[in-house]
Amino acid sequence: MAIVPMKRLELYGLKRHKASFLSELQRLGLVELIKPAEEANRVETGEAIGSELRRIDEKLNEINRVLAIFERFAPQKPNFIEQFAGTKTVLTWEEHQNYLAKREEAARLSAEIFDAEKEHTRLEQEKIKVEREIENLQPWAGLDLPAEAWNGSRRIGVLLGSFDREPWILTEALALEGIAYCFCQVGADDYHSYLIFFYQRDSRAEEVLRAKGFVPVRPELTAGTVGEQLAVLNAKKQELETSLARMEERLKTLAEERPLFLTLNDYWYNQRLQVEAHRQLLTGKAVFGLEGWVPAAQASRVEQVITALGLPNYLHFSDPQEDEEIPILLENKKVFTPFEKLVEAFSLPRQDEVDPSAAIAPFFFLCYGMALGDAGYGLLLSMICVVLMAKITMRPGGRKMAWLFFVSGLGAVFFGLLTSSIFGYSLYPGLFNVIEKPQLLLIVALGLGLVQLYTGTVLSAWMCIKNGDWAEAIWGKGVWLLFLTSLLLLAGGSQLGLAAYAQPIKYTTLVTAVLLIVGNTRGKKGLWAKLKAIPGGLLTIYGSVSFFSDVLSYSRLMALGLSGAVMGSIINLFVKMTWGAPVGWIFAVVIFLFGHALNFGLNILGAYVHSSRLQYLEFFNTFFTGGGRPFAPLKL
Amino acid sequence: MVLGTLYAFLGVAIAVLFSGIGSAYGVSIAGKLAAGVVTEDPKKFGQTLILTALPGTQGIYGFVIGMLMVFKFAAVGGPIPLEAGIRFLIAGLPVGIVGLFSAILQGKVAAAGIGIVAKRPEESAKGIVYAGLVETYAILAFIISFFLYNSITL
Repeated sequence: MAIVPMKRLELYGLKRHKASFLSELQRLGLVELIKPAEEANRVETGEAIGSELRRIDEKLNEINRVLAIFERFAPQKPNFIEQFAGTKTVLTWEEHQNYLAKREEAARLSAEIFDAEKEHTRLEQEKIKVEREIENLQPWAGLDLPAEAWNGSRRIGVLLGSFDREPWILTEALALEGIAYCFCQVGADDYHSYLIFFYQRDSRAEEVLRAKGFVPVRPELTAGTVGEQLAVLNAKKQELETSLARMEERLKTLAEERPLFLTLNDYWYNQRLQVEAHRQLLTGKAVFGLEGWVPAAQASRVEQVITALGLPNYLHFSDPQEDEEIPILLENKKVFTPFEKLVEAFSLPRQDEVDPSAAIAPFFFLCYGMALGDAGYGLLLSMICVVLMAKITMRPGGRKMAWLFFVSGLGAVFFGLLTSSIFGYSLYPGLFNVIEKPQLLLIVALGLGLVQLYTGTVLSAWMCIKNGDWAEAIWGKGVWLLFLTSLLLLAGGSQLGLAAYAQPIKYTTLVTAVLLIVGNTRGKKGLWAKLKAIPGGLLTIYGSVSFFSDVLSYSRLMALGLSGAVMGSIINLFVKMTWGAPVGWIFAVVIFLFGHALNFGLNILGAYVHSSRLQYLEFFNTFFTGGGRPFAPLKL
Repeated sequence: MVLGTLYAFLGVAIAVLFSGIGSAYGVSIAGKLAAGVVTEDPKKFGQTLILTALPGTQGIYGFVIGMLMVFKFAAVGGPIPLEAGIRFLIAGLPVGIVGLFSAILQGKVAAAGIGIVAKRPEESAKGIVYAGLVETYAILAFIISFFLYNSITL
């Protein structure tokens, strides 16, 4: 339980067997390598490692490019759950081996994929070009005069162009000048009309038109009519579109090879880790050495595997030295493992601390149960978690999270059954009703807080004892608890029927306060130093204020439970109101489903946030700081 | 008296109005940023949704208090005495006003938390806890509003 004890591993072997040792250790995944302190001891230059890494990175880059192309043409669509958990493909060992065997084929495939993508880009650009040409010609679509006739004849001139105002302005100007003309509007877009003018070559028509703002333009065409050219272009566009579609189809088919590339990605990534591990080896001319951490319980397994390799080696395990920083791995009984997730999200314990997972387990369970406070919601949450765990493959971290919510949901079932609340309905008289007796709920919440913070203080005393500091455990923590208890009794004793003992309680409070101050002066040499420590002791007494404000912080459980319960009952009231009306049951069902879904979503979120906050800020404050380094073994 | 009823209704309005405005504003701050993150990486919808929803709770607290008051009016029927009316008004104040400000500020913290989701998704649980810290004060106000409300007898 708690923090896993580690052993230091030393392994020496022949240099030429280095890779086999390393890949075996990586497959095993139980050893964290330690970087050698003295760089000078490494005979092997970083150069060789660097070039090997570059080679692998090139491979990885190529694979990532392929995967990016797959993502573009055949995107994986994660469902709502996978957005949290991430998409994963699961392979059997045989499939994995099959894919690895196809490594040669992958090089050919990726070349094919790159070609296809390049071709796709080329086609796309061509399509854009054609589309632009079509767009330019479109306004002239009505012009059925072939391009050969645009230069006019010996006597008649032809003028094509655009104009940004009404065409009659032009014709009026020509008429005023007394010039004979003939004109036709062939098309228009949002801003311009496209016109064609016929006029006698010896007239000033062109000059007059230009003066009015007519801009002579010709469509880009050398032969035939605009309509003919458009038909050609459209046909070309259609052709491009079909080949684009074909190319996309092909890339989509190629994307079915995604698992192969994902596997290779993993493979090269693992190779990279292994090569990087070379940096952590001590190497001589013929021999290499490595040091690492291994969980003490697994040491024999590592030894077995290394011996099974049948290569000459020297393997030695030793206990860690006094001041060494040991990587932290948590291990708990199966019931408590989900709660490790909460500790990991905060910070791992240092090697001299205890693992708080087991300590927060019952309290998180109760806090979550109170905050959610409804058996229906709790059951729903637990069932969702079970379905998730059955339906999707999760990493160990995600699985722990799902278990955490499963257990927390049961907490809500427990509390909901106690207070008789199932989807906001009270079907039988429970212990008490949350809405009718909110004061009682508040007292329960604060009581839970008090118990948890006392537990925290006891734990910190136990930690002092474990570290051999008996004096702090008794003077610091023991007296502190007595003082807090007597303070509590002083304030609330009369309600508990202890009015008769008011006098002794008062004295106990005073005595423990004095003891706290005295305790604070212990260890100080000389009268003056002892006197100087007294203000510090007074400050300790003042610390009771922050202790009780931490207890008050647990009132949030009551607020969350109450607001959830009231919301639930409001929804049920609406359901009841609509039920009686004709076809009201449809609305009632919709209100029930939608309302409770909303309330459920907000409450599981709020309960999680606030329950974990109570552990992190209030509970950990009493005994836990964290800051341990997670155990990071070399693994696949 | 009619005036008492008026004050009581005003209490409901204050509780629901201000906390609702605050929540709408807070959710919009976080939502705008979340939309930006999702543009870059649509797979982060789920995580950003949680942070965006957090400043919405203040509106719920205000609504719960308002609804409870309305239930109490309905149970009695007829006009509410002046003193009780003013008590309802005062009971609505904490959850309304603290809700208004805490929801807006929580929206800002949630928006910063969405930054964590964007840059270091593995640490996003911590962003949720930070945003949760702001909520404490809305909860305290809700508790006080509730007990003030609970002490009113008609």
